[in-house]
Amino acid sequence: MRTALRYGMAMLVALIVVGTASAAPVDEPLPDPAQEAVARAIMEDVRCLVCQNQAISDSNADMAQDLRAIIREQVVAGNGPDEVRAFLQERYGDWVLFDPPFSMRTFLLWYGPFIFLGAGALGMYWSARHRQTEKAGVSDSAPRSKKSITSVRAPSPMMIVAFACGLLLLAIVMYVQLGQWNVADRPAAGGSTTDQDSEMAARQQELQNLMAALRARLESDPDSEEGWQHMVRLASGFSDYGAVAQAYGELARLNPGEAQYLIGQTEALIRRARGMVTPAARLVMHQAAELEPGHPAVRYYEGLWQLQQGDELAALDVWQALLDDSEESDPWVPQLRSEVAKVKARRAPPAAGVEISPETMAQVSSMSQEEQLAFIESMVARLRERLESTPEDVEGWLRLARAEEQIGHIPDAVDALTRAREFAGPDRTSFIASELRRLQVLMDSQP
Amino acid sequence: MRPLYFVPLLAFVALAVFFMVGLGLNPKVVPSARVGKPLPSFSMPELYDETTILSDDDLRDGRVKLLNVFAEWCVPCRVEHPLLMALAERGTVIYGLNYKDEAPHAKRFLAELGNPYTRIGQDKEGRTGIDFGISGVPETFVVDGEGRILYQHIGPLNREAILENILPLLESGGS
Repeated sequence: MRTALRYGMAMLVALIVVGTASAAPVDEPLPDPAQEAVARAIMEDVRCLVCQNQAISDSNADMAQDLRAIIREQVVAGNGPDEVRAFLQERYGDWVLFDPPFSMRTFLLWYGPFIFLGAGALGMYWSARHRQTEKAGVSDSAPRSKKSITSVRAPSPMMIVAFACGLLLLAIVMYVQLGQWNVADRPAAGGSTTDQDSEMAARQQELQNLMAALRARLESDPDSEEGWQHMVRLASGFSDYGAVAQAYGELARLNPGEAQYLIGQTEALIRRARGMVTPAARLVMHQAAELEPGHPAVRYYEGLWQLQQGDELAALDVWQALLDDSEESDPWVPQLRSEVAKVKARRAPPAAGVEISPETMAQVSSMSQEEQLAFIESMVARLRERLESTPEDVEGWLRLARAEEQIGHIPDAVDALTRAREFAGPDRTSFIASELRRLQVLMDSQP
Repeated sequence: MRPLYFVPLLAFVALAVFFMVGLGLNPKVVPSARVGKPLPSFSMPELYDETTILSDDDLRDGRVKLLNVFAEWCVPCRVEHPLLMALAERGTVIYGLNYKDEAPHAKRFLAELGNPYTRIGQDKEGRTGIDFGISGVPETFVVDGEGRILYQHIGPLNREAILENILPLLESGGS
């Protein structure tokens, strides 16, 4: 559960901080499953440049998405795994590969242990032989004391060689038992989290300093429009929606004719109230409506307010009317449509085929965390219901497993994976097996 | 005592030194695979005139220069910006790579903080950035007159990096 919340929060922060970056590249599986399998296999061996202990296949970083898109493009263009790896290596060096290739530079990495073992064995062999000749020399020339007998006794060279071989054999046996030849090594996750946490803290500190400087500047110059614009962006990065709302309020004061700042203030107030349309937010949005009657955002939040008052019918009326007045190309249409569908679905018995569409996901990310969790849980329950009637839908089970994991229901995720395994083709079995192993580890680490 | 008795001790000390150094390294720093190699080929529309193209050939002009990766949405870029302005003031040629940004945003950023760049290419998709092997924004490259990458600085520039690593390269003419 905590991880789900953390994940959600990280997504939210990432959305806001990177919000102004241009649209993310398409991050969808390739239509050809064989090509997708090739691409995925490459991705699992490529280290993410941002969150370095993750492979790019399971990183949400922007850069990892870009690299995934590039890998898929290259696979489609007919490049084999080696060519794709060479492409990445040219840019980021051996470092990007979890399985670095053998070269002069990595020689010690691969053969170091054997060299040390060999050197140790040689050293022991040499010293043993040396002592034996010494002992022989001593016994020839003079009678030995009791003490010197014990101290001089050395193992025979044969014994040392046998010992070294035994050690080597033991290492090999242990590796066969515990290690996996084809699985990429990753440093323990525990250490890196604290490392990331401290880095996060440092970055937070840096932002905080910027914010303090900005606050001071605005205090002496409260009519600086630029300054308040910055405050909006910085405070959003902190998820400090109180400050965002204040900054928008000042911007609205400086630009009395413009509704957009009042809308911004409304949205910030709603975010601060974790998605609830508060009386204060309504007050501001009605000011915006006076400037710009029928503003779609105001109508949307009016509908949301109705919904939160428990009046689903009124909310549907408002939203449906807004949809009717909107052009198909308006940016809010897909989200609004899915929201309307959601309310309708809640009023009607669950539909047979529930899909978690990208629109729905986008809409989920705009909800408060409680709403999000409740909504995801209901979606997950419906997905499971549908899969019970079409159990051969392997991808469906995998999706369910991922969703269950996100909301912290690890045993249910394991169950879904087990169901997926029943019908999985040979191209998916190894993936499912590795997922099962991963979840097993997760379960063991959680009390 | 024979000198050979010290071999294990010396081996141990050598290993210990390796490990000590290793512990002190920053695992976050992505080693620069591009340093010492020629620029990747690129062609980007210019920020202030999208009909003009900034290409790798433009950087092979016989002068040592900087190439700075920046974006309006990147907060550390604001931190390093005054240093870039100071470098530009002392005559350093700085090319800008505007990474995954929107032109109006980038222009606003430069209008507000000043424009230290000789020319700026737009890398809207972020592909050129990846060709350069960047792992984030900002990053700064020193490029010599023949278009070889001499140095890569990861993260916001700071006074020490400029004084110790960048200025000597700029002043030596890159040879």
